[in-house]
Amino acid sequence: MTTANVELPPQSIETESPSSTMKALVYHGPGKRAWEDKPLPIIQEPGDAIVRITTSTICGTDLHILKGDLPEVVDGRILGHEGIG
Amino acid sequence: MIEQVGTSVTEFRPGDKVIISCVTACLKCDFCRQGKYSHCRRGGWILGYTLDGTQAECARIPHADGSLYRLPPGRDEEAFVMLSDILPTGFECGVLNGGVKPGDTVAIVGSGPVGLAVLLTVQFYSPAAIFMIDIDDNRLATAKAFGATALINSVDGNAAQQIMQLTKGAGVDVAIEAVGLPATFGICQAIIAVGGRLANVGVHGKSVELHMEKLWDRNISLTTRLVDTSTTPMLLKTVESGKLQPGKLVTHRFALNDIMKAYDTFGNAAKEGALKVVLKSGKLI
Repeated sequence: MTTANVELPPQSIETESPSSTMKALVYHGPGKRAWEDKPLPIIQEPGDAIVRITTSTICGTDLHILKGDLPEVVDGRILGHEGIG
Repeated sequence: MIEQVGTSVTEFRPGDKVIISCVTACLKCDFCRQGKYSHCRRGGWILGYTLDGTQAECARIPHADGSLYRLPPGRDEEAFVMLSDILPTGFECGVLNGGVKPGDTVAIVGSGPVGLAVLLTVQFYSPAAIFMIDIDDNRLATAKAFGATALINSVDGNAAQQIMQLTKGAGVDVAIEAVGLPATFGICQAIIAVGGRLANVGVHGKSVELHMEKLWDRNISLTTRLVDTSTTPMLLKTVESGKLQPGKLVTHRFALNDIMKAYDTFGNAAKEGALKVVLKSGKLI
């Protein structure tokens, strides 16, 4: 079957798109947060691990960030510093 | 579970189940070599702060070898996720910095998740009395169930006077601030005994008054700390053995997809009776 390579079903292309993004809780400045699409993280440094999160939590510190108490946190940052995966 | 690791990661592989520490540690810099991982030159507290964090379907964890812990197989994730932050924070910034000894009187100001983590771990040292202070009777009732010996609702502003009465004017050996407000820091200053330790745990966004005119001759010490998570391996063993049961702090569960609702609930913690709000991937059964 020499034609197999050119008869790729179109869904194989469609399935690539969702696999490159994920949902995340994103900070957008004091009082603003959204559950939105972000690029899936990739290995950037040799010491990195990519972890698929199975359990996470919200900390009082996240509320401090949302109040604007920690101005170092930039618009677009994914929040959260607790988790199991 | 780990999906991918970089070429220099030696301790973990794809497929491993891991607890993510809130503090990232390279294990090589001068601060890491002193055990002060919170101030790691290449990490420290960065997740969900200066680097993208864990409230997402996936997260990139730098310096994985120093920043992840293996989850004991088949164990309840809700209990072990408390090792990411609140247990080491309560223990290191509160209990260890407070230098709690057997027989001490201890006051914990703030009966939220971190204050309750202090309460759970301070009992390693058998204090004689543990006073829990909060403005929320539900949270105080939880503290009672977790081992607090006296509860003080500070909503009327008389918490310090009540503590001084309960200690016959002596004050407490250790006052642990687990809120992060000028008023709660003020309570700690007002109740510290001669020779006592005031350990701050709370995240402060405003300056506080320090009453040196009352404290200069009291032989007290005041400590601050960002959690190093250097005690996480020890705390992990206490959770694994069942000695500590931090899963009891979980009051609400949401699917990760419903995190916006989870924030609403946690943001109205008093009304909702919320302590730890847990998010799970997939659908909740």
